[in-house]
Amino acid sequence: MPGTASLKRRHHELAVIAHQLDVIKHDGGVEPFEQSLSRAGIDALQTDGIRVMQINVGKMCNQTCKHCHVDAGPDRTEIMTRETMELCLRALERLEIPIVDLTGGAPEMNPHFRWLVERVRALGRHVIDRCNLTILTLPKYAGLVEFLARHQVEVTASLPYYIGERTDAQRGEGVFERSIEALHQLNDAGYGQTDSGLVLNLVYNPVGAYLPPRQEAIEADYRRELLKRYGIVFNRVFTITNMPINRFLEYLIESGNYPSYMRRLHAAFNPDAARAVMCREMLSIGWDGDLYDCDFNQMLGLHCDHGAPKHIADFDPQRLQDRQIVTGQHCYGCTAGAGSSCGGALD
Amino acid sequence: MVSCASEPSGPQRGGREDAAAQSNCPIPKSADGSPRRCRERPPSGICSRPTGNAGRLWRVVRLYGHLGCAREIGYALLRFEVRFAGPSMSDYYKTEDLERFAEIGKNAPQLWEKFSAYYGAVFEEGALSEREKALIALGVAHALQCPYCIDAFTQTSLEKGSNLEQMTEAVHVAAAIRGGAALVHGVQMRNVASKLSM
Repeated sequence: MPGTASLKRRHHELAVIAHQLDVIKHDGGVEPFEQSLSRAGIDALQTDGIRVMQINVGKMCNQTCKHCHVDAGPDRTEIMTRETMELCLRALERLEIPIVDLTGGAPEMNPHFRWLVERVRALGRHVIDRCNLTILTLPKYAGLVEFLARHQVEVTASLPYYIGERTDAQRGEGVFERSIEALHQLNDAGYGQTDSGLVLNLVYNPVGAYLPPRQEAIEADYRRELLKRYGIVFNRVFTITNMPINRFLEYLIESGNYPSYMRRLHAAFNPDAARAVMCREMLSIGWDGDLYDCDFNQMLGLHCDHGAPKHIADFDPQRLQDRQIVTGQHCYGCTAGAGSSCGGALD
Repeated sequence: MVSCASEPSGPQRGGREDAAAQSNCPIPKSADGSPRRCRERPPSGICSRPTGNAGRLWRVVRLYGHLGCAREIGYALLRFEVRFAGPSMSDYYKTEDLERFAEIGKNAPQLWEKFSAYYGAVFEEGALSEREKALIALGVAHALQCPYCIDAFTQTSLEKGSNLEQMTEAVHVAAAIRGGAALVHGVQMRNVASKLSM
């Protein structure tokens, strides 16, 4: 049953990546992504430097959200070692990548999380923490908010809706209430407050098989409702489209929404969004140091290809800065409508 | 009144009985006022639990039988011929047909293009937001009882950021206007009654 344990723990057939890739490739019922690119006059997606190093420090999480593209959860034990983090830092020393984006799972659950943040900040790079909020309310992680504020870490936090019922439907019973508690902690520490320099962004993603709204429109709703109901302030809302992989794929198949969702993504294919996808300026690093074009490819085991190195130990700025991106049917998720990325829709 | 013990019970069934009970049905009610169940058989050639098109025919006949309107039975039979000799009712309102909407443009492309341009412009952000327009459309879809429109604007409303509370209120607006529209005609009824009465 979704929401109780990871696919891997449940020995679900989608946990076998080869099988999932087969489902994604053949069962969606829409033309190959590369064909849509080609019709839009795009031969292949090519990187344009590396502006963001996104490090997935592990699949361990205190939540088991129904839409999780990572298939993360408390039962996942894969986390990045300090040795692998050292390799990431060495790569940062070799190439001026301005932003380091830490994700998971719940990245804060990695025992070396604070060490990594301190080291990256010492290199003068901007750090983003992709936070599930509830982790900040657990006694074991007390002082985390102050730590993040002290190091000027940008917090990008998941809050799929401003109403509890819908948030809990996706992220688990009681998650909304604890998320509000965490947002109060962040606000109290200065996050989201005018002129504090501490950036708090919220992430909206649809609670079901539909596309996100226009980013500016939902941001206005969040701003009004969160202030009115809870006295919470923040900087931006990012809208992210649910990616039809892992547990969201499971939901789509079980609810009978998979083909219609893929048709919806396909119908909303936007060439401008395709030209500006986040992977064009990102390098994604897995918990074991493997290299990918994005976090979604990472979860599908689709390594950097076309001559680019596949592990951080082989980091080669030249070959990585100008590489061809590996694509698949799931890429329709980032190219639908206004587009979708870790930084939300396109401006 | 005509009723059938073999008919499955349920809300719809109860609704029909209620409607029939309030009609001018000549068939007497049982002692407690509830509709009397009959032992009548379906017409010859139709089995006691007809299914498929035969079942539909029998249900149509029985529905109008409820209302005691023999002439309607004739009309029902005629409509049955028209409808079920060709595509069956189950061929209507297929979800996937909504995605084929543009096929309407095949034999009148200029009209379709004009309609599409107008339709697109209507739903653009203006004095009203896209979300507000989608909620209006959702309400109208319910007033029109158009399954395609309900499908489309439920999805659109969600995609514009509305929640179920807002969408339910939009449906209530439609219900209030439809109900009010019926009720306000009561004034017309009163005018006519007044004119005809001493």
